[in-house]
Amino acid sequence: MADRDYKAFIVEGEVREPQIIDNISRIFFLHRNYTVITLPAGENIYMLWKQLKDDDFDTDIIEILRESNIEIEKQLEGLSRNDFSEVYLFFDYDAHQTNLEKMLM
Amino acid sequence: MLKKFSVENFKGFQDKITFDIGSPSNYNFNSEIIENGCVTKGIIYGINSSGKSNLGLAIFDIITHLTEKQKLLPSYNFYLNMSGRKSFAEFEYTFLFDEHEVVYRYSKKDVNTLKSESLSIDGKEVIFFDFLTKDGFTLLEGSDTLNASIKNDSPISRVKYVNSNSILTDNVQNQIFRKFMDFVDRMLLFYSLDSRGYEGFMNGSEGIAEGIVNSGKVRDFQEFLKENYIDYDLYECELDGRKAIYCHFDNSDVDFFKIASTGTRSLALFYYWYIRMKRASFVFIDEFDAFYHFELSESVQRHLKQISGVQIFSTTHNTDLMSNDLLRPDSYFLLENNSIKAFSELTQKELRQAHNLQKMYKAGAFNGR
Repeated sequence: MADRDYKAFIVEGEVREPQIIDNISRIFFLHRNYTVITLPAGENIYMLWKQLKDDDFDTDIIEILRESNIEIEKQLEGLSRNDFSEVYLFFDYDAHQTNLEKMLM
Repeated sequence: MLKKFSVENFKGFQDKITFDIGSPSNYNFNSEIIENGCVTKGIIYGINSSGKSNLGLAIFDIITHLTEKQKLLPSYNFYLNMSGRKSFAEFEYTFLFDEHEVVYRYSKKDVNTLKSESLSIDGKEVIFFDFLTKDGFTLLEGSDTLNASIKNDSPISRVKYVNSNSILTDNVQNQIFRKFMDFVDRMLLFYSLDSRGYEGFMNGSEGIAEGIVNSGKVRDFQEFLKENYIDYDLYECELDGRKAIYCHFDNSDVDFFKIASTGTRSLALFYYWYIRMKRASFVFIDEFDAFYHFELSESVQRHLKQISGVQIFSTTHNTDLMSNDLLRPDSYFLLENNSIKAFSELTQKELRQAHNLQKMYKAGAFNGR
């Protein structure tokens, strides 16, 4: 039941500073369940947002990630959309500035 | 399996309403709930007074004249629609047994008075009777001797009459006829509160405690409650000649039903039927989760999902259950404005497992085409 409370951290590409995620989780989310989902190479947060937008934001972000990629599907095995209470998106600002503007409009 | 049901001029249904559970969509998730091309698990929503309970009574009208099982006759007191133009209600059932289609159509003026009956197997009408003109026939092999006696004033269903009084040969058509009669005989409708009773499937009013004890399931019942975070130390005993379930506490022992909460008693009633459900054909549970907290509602639905070969439909107000993680868009139904449609039919969007049905529903995505 309530002990499931997972948090998802979605990051683009291989985390260059895995320490940051680790530190954040230790300071803010001590003793909590969390899972780091790495978007595969070539994909970024903007593409994820675009997919959600194409579905009129009627879909669940965890399920979209699950259906998009076999690796992520395996990672999410045993976890359902309702297990996640918080989802955090970490994106690289400088590389996708124009897309960022589109997302934030 | 029941494939389709329609009724007209019965209770709140002035116009013909059709409940179609024989045209599922192609979703590749939760596919175990589709058997032989029919939806076998579903949840029906509708605002108060939309007709959810009346739909159940309508679907079960068939058992009132075809079976000798328990009936909720008083529930059929206000039979016809009060604004209807006809003096009779019309029913049509389409069943599928081993790829053979059975269509049973009949009309009734009230729960006890048949006006006409017609039974077809694979498109061929095999039994027909008009109760006004006393004209009719039976073509089932082995029943032709009844073609004389069938034409009298008896108000009894001729389908029931043929089933009880003929020695049918063992051909495919008759086997399908027997399957049809057996299916109707095992239909079950119940309410989540004991006081509202049940119809179909069996007879008598066995107490819940009695029923659980007689099935040897007290231990299993205790486990079932524990799985749902309800902890009691239970044992069976006999008091004044009646079987009962008692709870043991440190200081005293007491009758379980005297101290259980309304929700827990309702769950016990559900359990009583749950252990019998595997032998049913079609189950309709009206307001299955009145008094349940969400996790319990979900847990109960998951238990039902595991019963294969039985069609089970529940009505509820709990929209938290609208999830592709539990069922699918072709098995969630909305009853409104005299029509019942699956979510998959109520939107142009191509739904996938990733869609959040509850969120969409609340945002009005299923309000129209």
